[in-house]
Amino acid sequence: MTDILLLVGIISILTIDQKDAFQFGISQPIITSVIIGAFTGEYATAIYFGIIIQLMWMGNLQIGASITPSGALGSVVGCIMYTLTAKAYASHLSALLLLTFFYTVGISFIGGQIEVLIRKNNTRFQNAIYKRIAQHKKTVVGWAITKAIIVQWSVNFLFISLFLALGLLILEWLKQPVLLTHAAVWRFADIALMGTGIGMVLSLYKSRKIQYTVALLSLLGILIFKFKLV
Amino acid sequence: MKRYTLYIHIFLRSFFIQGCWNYKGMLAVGFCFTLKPLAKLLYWDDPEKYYGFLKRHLGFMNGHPYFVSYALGASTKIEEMIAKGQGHPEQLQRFKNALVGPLGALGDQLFWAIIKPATFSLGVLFFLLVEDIQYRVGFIIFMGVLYNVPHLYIRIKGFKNGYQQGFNIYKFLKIENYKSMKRFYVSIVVLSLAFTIGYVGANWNAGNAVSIAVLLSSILIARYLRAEKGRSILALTVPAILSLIIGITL
Repeated sequence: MTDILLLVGIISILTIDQKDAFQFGISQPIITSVIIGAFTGEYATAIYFGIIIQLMWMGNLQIGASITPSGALGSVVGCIMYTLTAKAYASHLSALLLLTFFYTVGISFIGGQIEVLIRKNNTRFQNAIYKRIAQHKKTVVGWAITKAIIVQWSVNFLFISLFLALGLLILEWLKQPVLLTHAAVWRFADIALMGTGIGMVLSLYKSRKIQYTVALLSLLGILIFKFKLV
Repeated sequence: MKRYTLYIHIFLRSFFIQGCWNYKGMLAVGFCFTLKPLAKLLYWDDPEKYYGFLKRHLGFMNGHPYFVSYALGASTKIEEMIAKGQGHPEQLQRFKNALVGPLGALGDQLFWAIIKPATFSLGVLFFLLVEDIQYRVGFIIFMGVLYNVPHLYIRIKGFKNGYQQGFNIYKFLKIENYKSMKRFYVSIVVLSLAFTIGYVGANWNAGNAVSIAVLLSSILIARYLRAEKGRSILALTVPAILSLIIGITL
């Protein structure tokens, strides 16, 4: 339990990189999944989820003031859930992947709405600075940014903790009914999710030239990997 | 404070430019925070002008977080001119407003739509091909370099060019000026996606015909719903639901 809280605390700090500070790209699911793998000792499982979820959110551009789903936060929750419950669902891993994925998508959209509230709260900090400037008092611009980042970190921490607990509860509740289904029912889930991720990235490019090049090279790729030409 | 120390301060503070992003001023608080050392240098002994400086940089400002360094450099130059009596604060605010569109469009187009997908889709491909955790961790460092070299380059070059050009900085804010960078990263994203499709199609579920059909249809459905219809939720969920239906029926 303490380990998981520590992990959530650290990951919450990394998710600050998504929008609020630095923006070095360290909050990407493929990177956070390695950290989750290191903490849980389940590298392969965590990274597998990270790989599949990584491509999903790159098609959502954070343009101007637009609200995009909070993919980084949702992915972290999903990755920890998937890693912690993989053993319990060992015979139905594709089912677990699909359930975790749907949960991740759902909470990512909730995360996007929470972001709206945080941005509104930040307006209060800006108004407070205006007030101090008008009164010629010592300005606290840096302190406003520090407070905004602390609020963001706290919200990220609470978001991940609460939705992780809820998600684990839901997976526990769904375990019996899912394990009763035939595993073959879920067998195309992994490949469909991978395809969805690739489609989401491709949606960024309208150029026919890019689309045709990807199509042609992917045929070549299938041949290369199918017949182990390299 | 020496000039170059001041510029380093501004550069380091620019990493927090989105720290207090809000609907009223958008990047305003971060922009003001970043330029505050300049205010101290120019007007520390004149409270009226000092607070006037802070107030005008708390006005509306937005842009891509990396590309906004062009505006920071140009604003630094113009503020120094204003302090020497060679410019007017109103001009500066109009100039900043005019930069909002180009800074956002260029950054979104170059970073969010090309460099970020290129870097991390290459990461996905590498992670699929190589299972050794040591190599994977090593590749994370490589991804960090691949993503952050252009990131830091834009931040540094943006501030430098902005400072040198002042009001003329808009000439640099064209995608044509980043053609080679764009071409390089588009090649990476094309190759990564194509070989990811190739690898997954050939290996997952033993590469049987149904699996390849599910993969290709998922790609096309997600792409169509996201790009043509703008329906993100459907794009994310429809292929998964279809895969379940196929799994039940076959």
